[in-house]
Amino acid sequence: MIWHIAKREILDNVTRFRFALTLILVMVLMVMNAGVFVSSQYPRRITEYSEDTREAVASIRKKSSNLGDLAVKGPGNLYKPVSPLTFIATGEDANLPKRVEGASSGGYGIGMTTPDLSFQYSWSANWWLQYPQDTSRKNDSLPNFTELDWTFIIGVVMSFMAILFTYDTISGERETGTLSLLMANSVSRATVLLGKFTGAFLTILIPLFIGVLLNLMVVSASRLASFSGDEWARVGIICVISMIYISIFLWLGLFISSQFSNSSSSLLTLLLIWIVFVVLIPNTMGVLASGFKQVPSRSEISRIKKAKEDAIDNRHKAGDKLYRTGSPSDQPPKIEVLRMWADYLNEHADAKSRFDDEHLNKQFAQVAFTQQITRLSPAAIYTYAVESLAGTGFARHQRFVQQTRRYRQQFIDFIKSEDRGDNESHHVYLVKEGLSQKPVAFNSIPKFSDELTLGITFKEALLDLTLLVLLALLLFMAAVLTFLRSDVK
Amino acid sequence: MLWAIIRREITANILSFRFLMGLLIYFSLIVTNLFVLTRGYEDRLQSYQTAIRENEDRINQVTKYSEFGLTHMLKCDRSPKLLSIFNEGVDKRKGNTVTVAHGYVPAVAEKHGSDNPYLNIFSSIDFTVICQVVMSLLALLFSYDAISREKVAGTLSLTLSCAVARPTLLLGKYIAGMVSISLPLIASFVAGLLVIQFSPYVSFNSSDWIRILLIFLVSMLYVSLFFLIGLFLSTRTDRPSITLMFSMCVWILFVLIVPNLTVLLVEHASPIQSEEPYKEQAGEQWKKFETEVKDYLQKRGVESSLDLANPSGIGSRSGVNDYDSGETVSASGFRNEEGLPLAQECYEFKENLRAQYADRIWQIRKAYLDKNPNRQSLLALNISRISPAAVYYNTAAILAETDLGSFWRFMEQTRQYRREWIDYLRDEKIFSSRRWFTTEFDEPFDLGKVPKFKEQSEGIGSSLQRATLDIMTLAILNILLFMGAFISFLRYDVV
Repeated sequence: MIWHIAKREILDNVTRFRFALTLILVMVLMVMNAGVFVSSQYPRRITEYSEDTREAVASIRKKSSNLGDLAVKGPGNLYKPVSPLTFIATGEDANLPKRVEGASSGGYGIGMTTPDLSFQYSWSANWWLQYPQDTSRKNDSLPNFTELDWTFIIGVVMSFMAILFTYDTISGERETGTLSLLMANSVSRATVLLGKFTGAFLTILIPLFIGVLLNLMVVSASRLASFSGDEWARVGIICVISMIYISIFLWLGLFISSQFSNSSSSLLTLLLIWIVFVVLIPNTMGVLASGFKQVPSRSEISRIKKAKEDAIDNRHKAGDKLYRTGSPSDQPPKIEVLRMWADYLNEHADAKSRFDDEHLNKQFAQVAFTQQITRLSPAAIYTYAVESLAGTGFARHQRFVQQTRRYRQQFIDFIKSEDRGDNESHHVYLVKEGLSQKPVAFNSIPKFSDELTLGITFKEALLDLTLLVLLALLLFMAAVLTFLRSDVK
Repeated sequence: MLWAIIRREITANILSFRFLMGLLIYFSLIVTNLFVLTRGYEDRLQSYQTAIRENEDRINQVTKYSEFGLTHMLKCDRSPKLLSIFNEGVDKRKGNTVTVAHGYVPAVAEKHGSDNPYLNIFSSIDFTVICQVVMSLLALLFSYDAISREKVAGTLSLTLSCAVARPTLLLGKYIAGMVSISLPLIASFVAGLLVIQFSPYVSFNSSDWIRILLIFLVSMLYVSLFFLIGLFLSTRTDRPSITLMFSMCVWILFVLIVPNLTVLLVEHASPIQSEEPYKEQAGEQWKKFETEVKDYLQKRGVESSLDLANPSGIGSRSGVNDYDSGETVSASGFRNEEGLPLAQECYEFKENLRAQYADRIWQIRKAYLDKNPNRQSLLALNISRISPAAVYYNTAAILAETDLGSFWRFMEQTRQYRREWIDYLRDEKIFSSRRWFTTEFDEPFDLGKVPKFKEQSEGIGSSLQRATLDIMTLAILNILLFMGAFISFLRYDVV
């Protein structure tokens, strides 16, 4: 019986104008999305990424001629890999930094000749992890329009279509009086509702699948991005999530539709709900976020940072003791001088490192909090779930930063263990003259890598996926309950 | 007669379901949005004020003039534009702080930024986008069946059998439709303006009011355009559903697809070349500068400017970054004060030369910017004009002073400010003063006289002048479409 009702719904829907509109719209947008991705977006970003990493590797190779130099200057730029699934969710990657920098900045020189002391030394600060706002966007004055990725096509367009497909399923039949006719037969209300849902669901899946297939065909025909099995599985899961997401709006449509006895009121209500949850909430929360959870202001940050550095400077430079004992560049250097300078430089680097890390964590916490609030909107939940699986977006960036921090430790450990192997070294970490001056085997230097696997991405998407399923269930129950208790006339 | 038709149409529209729908949608979108963007503006304003304060503090920390050359370069900040509440344009995207020094001509702006730049990943919409996307759609929904519905219902032939001329009927439908669209829009716009007025940071002056009015009028012009598209298509077909289908296609094409494709096309057809060759050229210039300075010093018989004065302590920081160069010197304990005048002359020569070289390097950099990012942006702007949606957005941005042109104007002002600064340095003979490198001598030192950067906002006249082309485009399209609808309605088969 369910199937019978569903079949009737499908036949009814397929011949309607809204079906043709959905089909054409989704097909055009999906093909365009694939076209943009294949012809410009991906090749450009992949070239940029490989050039960047090549430069980064070359710079490590150059530094590897001297362990002390490498230890001071650090591993250089660490780049975030480009996900081949960017066309599914761009995740605002263009607005997120593409790299983290593990480098020192600034050269210093001091020359002093007073009657009682003469001191010469020039050095560069020890490296620490810095987080520059360096995005892959090349021209920031180009207008940026809505990215036509899957999260837009499915999250916005298809959800709207889902509402158009269901707003009059119950209320429309009430209007024409066919609902009471239908119920006069020996069908239960639950069967009718399930049949109607199945009908609408299957109808809307047709444009979705045609669109997705066309899209994937264009992308894979280009041979630009050859997907691994792992990535295909992620695409599959994304499709399933999309289906769950669409069913949320179908159930919402049925729920509202069974509340009203005329179809225009149900459409109006649905439109308002849709505008608030799909358009307003995701587009306004970012601006309001700073009110919800504060981060220290920029000026405060620079003030505290400067104060900390000054405190370190004052402590070490009090009574010129840093200069009186001798310079690290003396030949041969005194161990105590090296220790003193290493302490001084380490303290600076540690302070900066700790400070920047904490500040970034606070900023991230604010973004995460804002994301939590935008999760009021199912469209946002859907976007986050898809972003996690596609390996783009903020969550992915956060992971990348964590990986770079892990790598920092790895790199430091490597330098220390390498230095232990050199008997001529003074083993003072970290002042350039205190470490081995021998070249390092380039291949033995740990390289940064950040690979995503199905397991990782799925785990990250799990929360949002659960939320979507729960929401679908909730609306399903609401629709069933209201329909069971509603008046058929 | 016209009035009777208008009244009838307005009554019919206002009682219709889509009017209620429009009212609710406008209200919820526009009022919330203006409220939210006012908050955003307040944040940016605070951030701007902090930046200004910080600059003053920085200037007051200066003890020697040479610090202006590298460690304490002057800064110019761009104030957030009040009307960015209606159109964000590039206001949020582009940088808003610029560093100026005699050895550096500003060419790009950095973001003094928000306290959390990562919040940029959250998209936001403004009033112009709402008009661009939602209102145009609603205008189409109001007009797609204006003629064909009446034909299907049979009332069209009835109406025309009375003494009603076809032009009168069409004009009546147009005016009534526009009035019914504008009513909810005006209501929500006024409500939004009231909400904005609650903010303690916002006060509009008369020129702002005129700009707001102009933005509103341009919005109406744009909405009318889509209304006419619907009306025109409605006179071309017999069935409302076909008109709706065509209207939707036109809308999707102009509002969603063309703007997106433009960016793609431009990135493809006119990609940005690498900046490296230009940076190398600039680097060579700086090398030439170094040699020229060295030659000069050799001629004067010294190796380093301060050698003859024989200071006991000297600290210096100098840096050449691709396009800028600067030096901050600090010396003390001069054991041979007779050497000082020569050192002063050397610095005068060096820093004047540096300013000249910076100008030369600016020409190199300007060539890059003009040939690459700026040309690309202009091209994108011009191509996107195929779509009235882009024309509209650009006009609103010009009126709100948030377009790219306004930004470039600001950059030009910062360069003007640099010239003023150099003039000041030369007039006051600061390059050749001892205060350039030391605090040991009692020389006049008044930081209060350092010229301040004042951003001049564009007059309405010149904004309008820049927007003329776009406004004309919208107006002409309106006229053309009305004529099209008119002609096609004259030949329309009413039965």
